[in-house]
Amino acid sequence: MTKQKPVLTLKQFMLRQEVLTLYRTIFRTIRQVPDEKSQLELKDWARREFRENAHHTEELSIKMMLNYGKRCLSELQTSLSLAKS
Amino acid sequence: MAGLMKSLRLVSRQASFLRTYATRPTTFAVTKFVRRNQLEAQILAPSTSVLLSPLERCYSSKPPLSLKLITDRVLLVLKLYDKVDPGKLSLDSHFINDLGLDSLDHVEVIMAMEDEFGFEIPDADAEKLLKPGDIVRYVADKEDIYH
Repeated sequence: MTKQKPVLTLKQFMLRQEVLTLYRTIFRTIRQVPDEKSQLELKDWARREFRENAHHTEELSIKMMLNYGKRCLSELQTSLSLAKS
Repeated sequence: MAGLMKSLRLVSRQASFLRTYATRPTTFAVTKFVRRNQLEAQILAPSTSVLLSPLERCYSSKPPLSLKLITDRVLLVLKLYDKVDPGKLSLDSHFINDLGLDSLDHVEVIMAMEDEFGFEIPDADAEKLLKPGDIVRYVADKEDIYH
């Protein structure tokens, strides 16, 4: 039997969409990394981080994790642009 | 000054040769090249036969797609994904309901499809692709394949 998905409130839905967008952006940025091995390591790291924190249900902790993820993403982007220049 | 003019003329000649090679048919450009420089022509002779026979240029392009090829590639990518059970996999199996993936896995699957077919899928379209059949139809739409 398929289990019934809990209906999300608008706020939860928007947060969820933000998390998924961040996940996608991180993966797209990782694609630009020149080294294959580093790409795999970064992908594994990203997957692990997201999975370990997937259980949070409070809005505040989700937002904290989102900001942490965005900070990591901007660090990755700065190091990529530094490496390219 | 004279040496500079000589080197400039040489460079411009090579540049004009490159221009002719790029814009005129390969046969004409090759014969012009051959007449110009006999020594290099000897080195180049074996490859001119390859250049002369097809009169069209072979730029690197993707292999011609068909619906069957797209379906095979989509299913292969899904089988290689370790969280998917190949026994339950079919064109109509829903990622989340039937195959037991979650939304993060869904994002990963869509990105794998982007890597496979070489074009980006925007977020708005990606969240609608919930079955392998949807993905096949989407790729066929994007690549204009009808059979």
